[in-house]
Amino acid sequence: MDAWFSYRLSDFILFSERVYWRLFDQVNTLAGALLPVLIALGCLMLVGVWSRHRTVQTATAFLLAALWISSAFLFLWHYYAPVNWAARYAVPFFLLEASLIALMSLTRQLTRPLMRNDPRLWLGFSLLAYALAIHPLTSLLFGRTFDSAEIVGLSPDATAIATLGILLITARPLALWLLLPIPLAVCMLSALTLYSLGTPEAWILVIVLLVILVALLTPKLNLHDGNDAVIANARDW
Amino acid sequence: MSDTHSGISRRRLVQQSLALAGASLLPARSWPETRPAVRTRAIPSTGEAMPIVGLGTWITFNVGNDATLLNESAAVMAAFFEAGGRMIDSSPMYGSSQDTLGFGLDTLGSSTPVFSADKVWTSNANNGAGQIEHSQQRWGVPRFDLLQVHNLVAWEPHLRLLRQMKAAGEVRYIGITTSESRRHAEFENVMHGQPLDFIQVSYNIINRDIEDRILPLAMDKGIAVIANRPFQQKQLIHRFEGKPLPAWASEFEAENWAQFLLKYVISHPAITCTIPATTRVDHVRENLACATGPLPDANQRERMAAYVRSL
Repeated sequence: MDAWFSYRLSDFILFSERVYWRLFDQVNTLAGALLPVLIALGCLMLVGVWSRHRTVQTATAFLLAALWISSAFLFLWHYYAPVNWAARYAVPFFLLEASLIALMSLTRQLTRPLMRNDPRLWLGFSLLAYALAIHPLTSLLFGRTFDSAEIVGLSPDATAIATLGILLITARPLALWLLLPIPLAVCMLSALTLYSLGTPEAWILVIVLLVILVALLTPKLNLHDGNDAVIANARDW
Repeated sequence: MSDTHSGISRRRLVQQSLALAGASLLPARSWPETRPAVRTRAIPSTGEAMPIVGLGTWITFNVGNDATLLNESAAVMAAFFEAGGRMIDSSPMYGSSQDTLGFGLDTLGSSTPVFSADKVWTSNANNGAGQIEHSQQRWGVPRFDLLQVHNLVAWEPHLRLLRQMKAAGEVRYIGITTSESRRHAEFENVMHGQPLDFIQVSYNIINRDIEDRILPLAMDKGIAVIANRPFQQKQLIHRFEGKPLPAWASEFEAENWAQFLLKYVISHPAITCTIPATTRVDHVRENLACATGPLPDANQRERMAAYVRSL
């Protein structure tokens, strides 16, 4: 074990920044015609999280679970693992997250009442909207082409950010603590990877982590106060 | 090479099919007839001449299944051989670099003059033989010219295995590597106590730790030395670019900072070969050009180090 402790993080980043971004280029090319479908499904999630209808809630959660699976196999396994052997060890965790999302949905743990004056709701919505609409455009912001855009369902980072947003909106305490660790770990590891590669995108993930921290530190609202602030209450269903 | 292809990896097949459309169609050629004369140093244990500039693959050849980058890597290898290079070094730790080398060797044809240097890197002593066999399949070579214990990981059992392989003719040379100066004491102990053909260490104009003890010991023991990270992963190039190259650099024909830095490394008499890594054909040619011109002498080396310190 001593030998392992002698390595630094940068010793495990055995690929260049150029290779890293071209991985997204490749997986987007592989997705091809499915890319607009993925983007459309992401937008459906944006609508789905507002719904209090049981079927829509379940469908949204299962869609999110499917996006974790697609990200695991299409990106991690097929493209990332050949340049980063550690990536294949992340695949079981992605599948675990997908399974837990499905399980939490079926046990109605992803049905938090939506309160208009709940900061978590708006932080979560902001994260989800960012992951779906703005994060893909960062490739342009940082001088790359849209070919290497990070799309939810393909990019682990985008998928993790979207999940964090959805959890802030919908998760009850049990689901929150069960489902938060893996997307948080994805964001942390990606931030470290991008930092080692010397890319400014690392700071995006640091900001996401700070947003989550702020959200978790925000005092819970008393659900019995201000009933007029309730947008939708899961107990109605 | 064809007898080695029965064990070809699935990834290699994927790479080849991916690269087919964009293949640069580099023709197979007779490398020895076209290669220029480059400066060589003798491997002490056999006297075999080795061009003093080789090719590293750390990071640069880890390109996965990217057809464009695979072909770029093959072009770098072609330019390397054309310019007179021989030693290419890799490791199972370097992601897909071994597969990229295998792709390049396949593309360039079987007559490449490659001196294949690889490593064994596993903390489980029982996995060493299997890892080496897998590495050979990924390169597509029947045997390696040089096998090294990577970063001294489980070095005792692995060195035993490498000695057995050498005795059986399954590898020509054996050695050890480290890229960490904090392990130099243990490294020296192994050099003292084990029969080695090669050592591989990090060495450049800023990182000169090995000049005091390891390089003199290597010369004393008759061990060839491979110097890795001569540019400290491009950091030295970035650090000095924009700074003036001294006029006296022309005395040993260093035309830019890369050549200045590389000539410092290869002018040490204990260095057998250095292995700068690159993704660019023009850079590999520039690196090999260092092996054809004059090198700084001991006084000029001191002047180079002092100048760099002053910047």
